[in-house]
Amino acid sequence: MPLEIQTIDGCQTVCLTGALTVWEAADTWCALLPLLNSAGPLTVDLGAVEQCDGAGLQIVCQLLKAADAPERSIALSAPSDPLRAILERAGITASFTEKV
Amino acid sequence: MKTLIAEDDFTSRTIARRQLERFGPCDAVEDGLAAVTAFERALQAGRPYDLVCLDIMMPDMDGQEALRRIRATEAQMGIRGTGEVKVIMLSALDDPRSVVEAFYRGGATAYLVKPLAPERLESELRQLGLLNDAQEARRAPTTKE
Amino acid sequence: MDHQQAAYKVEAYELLSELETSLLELEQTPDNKDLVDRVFRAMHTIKGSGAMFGFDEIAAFTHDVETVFDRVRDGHIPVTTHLVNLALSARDQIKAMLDGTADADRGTGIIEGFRALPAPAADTAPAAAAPATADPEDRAAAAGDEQIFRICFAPHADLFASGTNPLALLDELAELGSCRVVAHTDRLPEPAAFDPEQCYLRWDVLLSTDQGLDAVKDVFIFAEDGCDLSIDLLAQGPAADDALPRLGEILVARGDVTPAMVEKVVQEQKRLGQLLVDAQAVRPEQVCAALAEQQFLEQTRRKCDPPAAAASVRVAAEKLDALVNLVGELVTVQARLSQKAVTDRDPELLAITEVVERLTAELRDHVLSVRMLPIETAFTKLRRLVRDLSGELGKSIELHTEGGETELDKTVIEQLNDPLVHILRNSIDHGIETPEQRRAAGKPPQGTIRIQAEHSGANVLIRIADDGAGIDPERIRAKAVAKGLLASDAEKSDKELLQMVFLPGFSTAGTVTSVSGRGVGMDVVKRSLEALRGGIEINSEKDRGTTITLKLPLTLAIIDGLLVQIGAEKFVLPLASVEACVELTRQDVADAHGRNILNIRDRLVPYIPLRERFAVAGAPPAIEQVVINQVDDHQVGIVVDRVIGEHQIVIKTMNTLYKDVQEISGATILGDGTVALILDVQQLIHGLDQAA
Repeated sequence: MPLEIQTIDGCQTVCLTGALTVWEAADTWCALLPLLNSAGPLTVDLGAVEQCDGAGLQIVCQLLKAADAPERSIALSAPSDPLRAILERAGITASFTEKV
Repeated sequence: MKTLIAEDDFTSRTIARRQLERFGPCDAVEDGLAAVTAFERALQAGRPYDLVCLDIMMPDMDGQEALRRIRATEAQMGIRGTGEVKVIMLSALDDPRSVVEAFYRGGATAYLVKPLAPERLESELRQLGLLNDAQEARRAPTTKE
Repeated sequence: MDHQQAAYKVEAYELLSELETSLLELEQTPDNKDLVDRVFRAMHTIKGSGAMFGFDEIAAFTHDVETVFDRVRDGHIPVTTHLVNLALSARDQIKAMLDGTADADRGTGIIEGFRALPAPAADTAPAAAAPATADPEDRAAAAGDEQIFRICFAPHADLFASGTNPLALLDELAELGSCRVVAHTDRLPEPAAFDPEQCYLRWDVLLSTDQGLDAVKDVFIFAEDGCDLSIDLLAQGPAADDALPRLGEILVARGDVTPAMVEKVVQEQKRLGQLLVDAQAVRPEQVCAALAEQQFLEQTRRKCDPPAAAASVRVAAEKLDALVNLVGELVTVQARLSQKAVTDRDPELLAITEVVERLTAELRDHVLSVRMLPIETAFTKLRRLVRDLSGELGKSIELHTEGGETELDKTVIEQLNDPLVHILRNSIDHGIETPEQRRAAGKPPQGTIRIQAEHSGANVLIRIADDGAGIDPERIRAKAVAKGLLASDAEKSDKELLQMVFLPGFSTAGTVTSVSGRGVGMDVVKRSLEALRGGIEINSEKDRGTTITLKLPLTLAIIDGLLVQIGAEKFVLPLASVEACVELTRQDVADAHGRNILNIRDRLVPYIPLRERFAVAGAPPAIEQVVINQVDDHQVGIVVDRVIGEHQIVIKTMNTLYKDVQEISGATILGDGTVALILDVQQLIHGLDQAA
């Protein structure tokens, strides 16, 4: 899973694309962790995730937790339709910033 | 004869219990929901009650509703006809509507108007076939909770 | 005690009518244990409550009947037509006893009939006689029953390594039935400690399925070693009607909290979930999971449960009628208010009147709907009629009813009963042939009568169709000629001949039987329907059967009308029959050469100049208006000076002084307080036919 990282006006946007499964999980997490730890505002775009399994789901959960944390300004933008369906089937309720 | 009494009023509950304890073990609860729960537990444990006495006016769940639920539980377990537990409604209410509701919608076995006279209760129990001579002869007052 | 006895009678009559329905259904489905129970309960109720309210004779009489049904419900006595017959006559006897018109000998006879029923012999009491067993294991084993499972699925950290995707397992569960999945993220570590290749998530799944426990276990067959799994059966069967477990009970059952902890916080009387979280006894997501479980159980149960009898209040019919009258007056006053607001051009008043208008309309609809009853209530009586009459006449007849849920105004239903009974009697007596005749005609020996009710606009249509002999138009002709109702050489189509059965004093039956030839003919039926502002139509095909269609308005109290004006007089035409409005110029009149006929889209439509008909003084305007009405199959125009517009009108009946004025069906009070007469278009056109 390639990560696309953009910085606009000091705000970082990372876009997850394609598959997010146990095969990509370790690499994706390695790339994401420093971003989560950095101080600036961060937007994670889940609109291009096409595939997701239990391992991928855990990463989404980590992102959700991070977005919930009050001390960081992390936003998750609208998940793709397949991801939305998977979240629902897996019983994960989450709120997202709708993509503008 | 194993009896369950549901009655929210302390005095009435005590009176009913004293009268019924002479014929066998007797449990008393204070509202309809507790009665339904107790009934189901006893049924599941394989030691069902022979008689359930329900007051009609009780907080939370009234006797009518408790009666319907008891019958529904029985129906679900495939208990029918004479296999159903005998239920006596005990109530200060004596309007025909509530009587008909208890009998017809609820499937009550009998309906006695309070205050409850011991002879009246006894003759009803005999009619329902709940008392046999041995039991009457024994009349052992039990103090089990 | 007197008013109690009266109240008891009300309950008892209702009970008896339900008993009748149950018995008739039982005859159709003798194996239906629920019906047997219902019959038993009804008898038991009559006995038990009768004794309480001083109806000792009724109680004593019912006792024997109850005893028999007690044996029926235990499977000792089979349900037969004979038993149902006896029970029905017992029901009639109880009713007679309530009425105080009972014949004691008849009662004794019925009781003897019950006592003569086959006594329970050892060999006729098979398994059904055995005491009902309540073995939960039996139930659990029964396949096809809906069960609700709670599945707690906590994968071990190394689950992914074995190539198992927990989401795929969840999807497999979802295929077994309806399920509610709640994920728990409590084991997810801090980001720094998070190993994306380990599994931290765990799930609680509530599954409602009819596939049984084994099917659920099979889902986890390859993952068993890689997870902690517990599967509990929460509820059994669709009709589970026991109390929903409370949130606290669920949390305790799941081992999330101890009962003592629940007890402690409950005393503070706040929302339990919040309290437990506040007390740090559970984490919020545990409460969420438990809440989800509660909700799921509730939903599943609601899905399975037939709608429970709605809580209802009994209201005297007169109170309802009074309410309808009041609403009628309110509608009138509201119309006046609206008119005033328009003339005064007061914006504030206009705004208020708009609200009042809306509220009045809603109130009117609600009040009218309260008076609506399902027509099924009328059908029930017919079932008994068909059963008893066909037995008496040695015919075999099956009655099908459809659309019993169709609602009609209470008054309409009440007045519908007699016409329906009459039509049905005709069908049974003259329509349906004896089994021998039917066989000879190549028909199934059992005749069928079908009653269908359905909505059609502001009307309800009731169709009564039999597959009997039908009506022979030639016999009608012969009869009509013999009775001097028709000239012997009159040319009439079959359809016109059929209509003659509605003429006063007409009866086609070759022989007058005790059943239908009682001097009350179809003309009475027709008149009573017209009194309800309804209509009747007959269709018949020789040897194929007869269909009678009744058309009834939904309500009698309020109609939509078209307000028209002639000179200073205002009239209302029921909007239901209005098709169009066209202009009538002097030229049009001249073109028709004195015949009152108008050419509309190449169709010639006759019209009635109301001004002439009602002798309204003054001259008509240069351009008059023709309101085209569709009645039966004809279009007829009614000429008026001016069409004012649509109005909702409350019908007031007129006193007997006007009862001979057939063209007027009633009157209404308009917004400005003036009176408008409601025209009976059907009668107006009838007059036209006769004049033509």
